[in-house]
Amino acid sequence: MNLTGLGVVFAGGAGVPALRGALASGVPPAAVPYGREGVPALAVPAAALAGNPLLAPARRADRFCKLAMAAALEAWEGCPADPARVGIILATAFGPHATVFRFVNDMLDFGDAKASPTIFSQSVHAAAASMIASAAKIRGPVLNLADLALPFEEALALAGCWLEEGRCDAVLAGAADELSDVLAHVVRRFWGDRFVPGEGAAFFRLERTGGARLALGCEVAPGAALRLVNEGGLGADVPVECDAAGAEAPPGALTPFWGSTRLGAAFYLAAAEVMRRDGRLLPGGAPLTDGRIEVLSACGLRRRVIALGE
Amino acid sequence: MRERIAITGLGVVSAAGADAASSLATLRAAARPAWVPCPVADLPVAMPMFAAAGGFPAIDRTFHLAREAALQALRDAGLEAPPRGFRLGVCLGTTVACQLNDIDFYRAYRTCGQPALGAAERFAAGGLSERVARELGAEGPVLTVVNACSSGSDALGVAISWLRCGLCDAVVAGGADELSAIPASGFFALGVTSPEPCRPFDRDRQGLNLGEGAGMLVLERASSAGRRGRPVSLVAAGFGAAADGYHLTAPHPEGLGLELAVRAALADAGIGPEAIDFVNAHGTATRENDRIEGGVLARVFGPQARVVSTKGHTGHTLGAAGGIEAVFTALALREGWAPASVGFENRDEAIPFAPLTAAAPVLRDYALSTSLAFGGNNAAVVLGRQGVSS
Repeated sequence: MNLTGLGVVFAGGAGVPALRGALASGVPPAAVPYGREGVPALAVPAAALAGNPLLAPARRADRFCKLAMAAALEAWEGCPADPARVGIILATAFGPHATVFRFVNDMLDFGDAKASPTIFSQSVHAAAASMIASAAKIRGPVLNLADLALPFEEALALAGCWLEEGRCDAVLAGAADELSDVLAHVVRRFWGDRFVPGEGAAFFRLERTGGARLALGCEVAPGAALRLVNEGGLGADVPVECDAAGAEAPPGALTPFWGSTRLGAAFYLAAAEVMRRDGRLLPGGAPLTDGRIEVLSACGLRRRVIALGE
Repeated sequence: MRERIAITGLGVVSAAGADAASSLATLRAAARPAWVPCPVADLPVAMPMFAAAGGFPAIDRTFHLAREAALQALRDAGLEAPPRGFRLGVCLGTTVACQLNDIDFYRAYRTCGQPALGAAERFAAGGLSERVARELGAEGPVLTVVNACSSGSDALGVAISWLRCGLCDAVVAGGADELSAIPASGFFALGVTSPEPCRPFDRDRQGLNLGEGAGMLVLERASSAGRRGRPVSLVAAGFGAAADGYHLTAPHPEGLGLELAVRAALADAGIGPEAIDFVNAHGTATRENDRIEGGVLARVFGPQARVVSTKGHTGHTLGAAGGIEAVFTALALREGWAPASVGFENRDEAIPFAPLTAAAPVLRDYALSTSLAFGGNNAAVVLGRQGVSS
């Protein structure tokens, strides 16, 4: 499969230019005190969502939906495929959990019989992808998946299947997660200040031709132009051992740009695509030789390598 | 020619029975299983709910339901101990088990700010499929589908894709969900629950009942089944999914996405509507679902469509429904009779057909199972029985 479109929203802002700018500057966004406990976190700034024209159809949507939509609709822009032949795969670890807790607030405050149906309908994991489908008039298969280990990588693998089977002509595959008071609290209780939790979304338009080739495997291969190692993912990852030659950035080097999430590979792949498009290593700006960029992730005994470009 | 996807194992737990044999007996008797007034939320009406047969713990209940059905299916497939190097994937659908939604945990967080972390630790142990995969020692791909009420069917679609693309040799696929206060409160708030046992496709239907359970199929490349010496008597012939792109909770008024999904599943199976013997419909017994689904099924299969909803036996088991209903469909094909729709009494003139009211012989080799979901997701799975051409 080939990567033909990219969209991203993260603590540095919304859109590929924001990611490019942050990486080029070499200065990660500053962590801010988050939630009622003031846990340092990389939250998406309100302005990135409030002024985003892509979110016009999502005025009443919750934050999780807006994060996913902002990235997905950016990646969707200019897609030539028939929307009836386009699929969506949204991977998450925690889903719209802040909305779930808003619903539970209703149950606790007003009783089980008087909770808000509107909040309930937004609390299901399927809501965000549904709103993306509505906004883009996509009629193909829409799949939401939620796991804590490598969910984005599984989403990419499935997108490849859909294209190979002829089920779709294009797939919007991506990942989204949001911060919440509860998540920040749990991160602090589990790991103290070891991680700075983050939030955001990254989406990729995948087609059979055009753009850059994208492949998934379990092993690195010699000769990569650049190897990015996704580490720092809220305790999910294990050190990735690289036993093949290739230019390698320090493990986890880019994680401070988006913060610790279980979806780090999606942001690393977004960064890799920006570097591939620009032909330069970011941060730094050194020329990037033609060739494959690998994104490595590992969780437990499972390891995935995303290879971008030839 | 594409390799066939064999169904080599079935496992199921629901109010209809604690395994395939007891479920078959319930379906054959066309008897409504015992139900209980809503045990998980404080609601002003005695909303009937269908608890799973067999004893399952309250804590981590969805995982235990899933584990039981998966083990049943693997035993049925002769895969309790997969051979070395066998790539077993796990793809399960759920709604409740994907959320950190423990109300006691959250109440304590709100109240004192320092809740016991047991619920968070259980959540951090992994997604439903990840946990089941660890339990089974599965070495293939792992993915938890959270497509609301079509999750179980969509999980079967993922499994079919994985197998066709050679990502694994076999997959435990289906869905699991437990009765929970949040969906109980949410569906009540939406006004789609029934104060009486549900009556799918009936003129006087008042809404859905929630249920719980798990339904799993072992799907396997036919070549893999052959190498293991397993006869192939059932196949997963095709899958289709499509989005309404219309509304978060209401289906498209004309059932656009469902019709696309059904036609895609038939095309994927390489068959026409005339090859389908019966449809195990989503059939939740809400006013809108049954009217719209009935219209679509009549458009695709004609007013003579043979349709059943098994939710009168199980309640609406949400993320488990697609898995449980696929198992029931496979059992019906294997046994040679389609079950009756429990709860149906009076024909609704807005629906072009009446569902089956008694068990009926299966005369053709294929059946269809449909699922509709929040968010406008629609899924359809075509299952076939021995004798189908590849």
